Amino acid sequence: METIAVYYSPLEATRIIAYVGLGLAHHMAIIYTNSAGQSFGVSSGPSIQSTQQTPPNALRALVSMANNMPSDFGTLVSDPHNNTPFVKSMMDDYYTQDYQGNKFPYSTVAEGPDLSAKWQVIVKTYAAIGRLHLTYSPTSQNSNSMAGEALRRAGLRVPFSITARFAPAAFTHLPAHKCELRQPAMPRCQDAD
Amino acid sequence: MLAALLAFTLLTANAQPRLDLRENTIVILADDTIPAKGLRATLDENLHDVLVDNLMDKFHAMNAAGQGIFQHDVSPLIRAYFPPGQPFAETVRILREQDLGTLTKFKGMQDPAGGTMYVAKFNLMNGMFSEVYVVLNFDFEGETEAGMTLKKATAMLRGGNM
Repeated sequence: METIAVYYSPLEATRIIAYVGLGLAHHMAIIYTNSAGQSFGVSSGPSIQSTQQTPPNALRALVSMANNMPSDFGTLVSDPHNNTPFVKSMMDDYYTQDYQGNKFPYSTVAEGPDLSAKWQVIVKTYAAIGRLHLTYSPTSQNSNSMAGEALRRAGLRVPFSITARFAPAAFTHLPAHKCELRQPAMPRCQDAD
Repeated sequence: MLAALLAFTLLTANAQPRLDLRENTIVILADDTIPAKGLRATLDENLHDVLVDNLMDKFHAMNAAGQGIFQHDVSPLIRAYFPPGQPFAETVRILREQDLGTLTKFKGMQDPAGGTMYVAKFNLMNGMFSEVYVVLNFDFEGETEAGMTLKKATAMLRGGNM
């Protein structure tokens, strides 16, 4: 049996959000485990991580997003290790556990004898969105947005249940192709870019 | 989401990224009256700064390249601190004195070809929306911590973000 699951890594840096009742913010990574027990992951993030982490910068990123310009945090980039096989719980597994080996919370979104086609859609969506150099906005267009978009395009639900965790911007829709970027209102398209 | 952002603004108006770097200036005087222990501590302090400076250089180079930070092997930068054969207690001492985290036993899957795996972590940047840190992995051989010696140490630069 194969599975596709969303793992939620908590961001200790966002503990302030917990104080206002939203819980710790989480980063979503999608993990596919095939029938042989081999796992593959996808993740994404900002191209620049040394930016001053201030509310004004986060607000400016919202403006940059409206103009589709890189923000102070840069653009939304795909992890270059995406779709590289790994073994869960080993020391170099940074998708499903913290550095000490404590499991992250997760939500299984698909289970079946062969999920390879859905996984390929997820991998291709991550690569396609990464090529568009979309604005990175920590609160509104981020790695969780990419995860949500990839899940939807693969025909899977974005977890929103008691098992899911607070993941800002997971329901933001993103374009994955230039034609969608040019005409956001048009149905999904796949141009040759 | 906007409400959360406004809450950030109100509650953390002066928030800045916290860089876990000890800002100090090393001054070694030509004075043979400096106690041996004090001189050694001063030199150790300098080693910490060299290590963190090298890691920050790597961090900034990756930002300049716009490639994002996910997981990157930076083992060559820490090898001089943790050579093979180093006693367990010496590794603990260096971590403590150099402010490089606390050694704990790894709870995940042990490397079948390895000994006993331990980990430590220290932050390079801890901001409101993302964090950048270094994970130190230690593979020790031996039955008890008192008798363990280091087989291999590796280091991973990792980033976390929303």
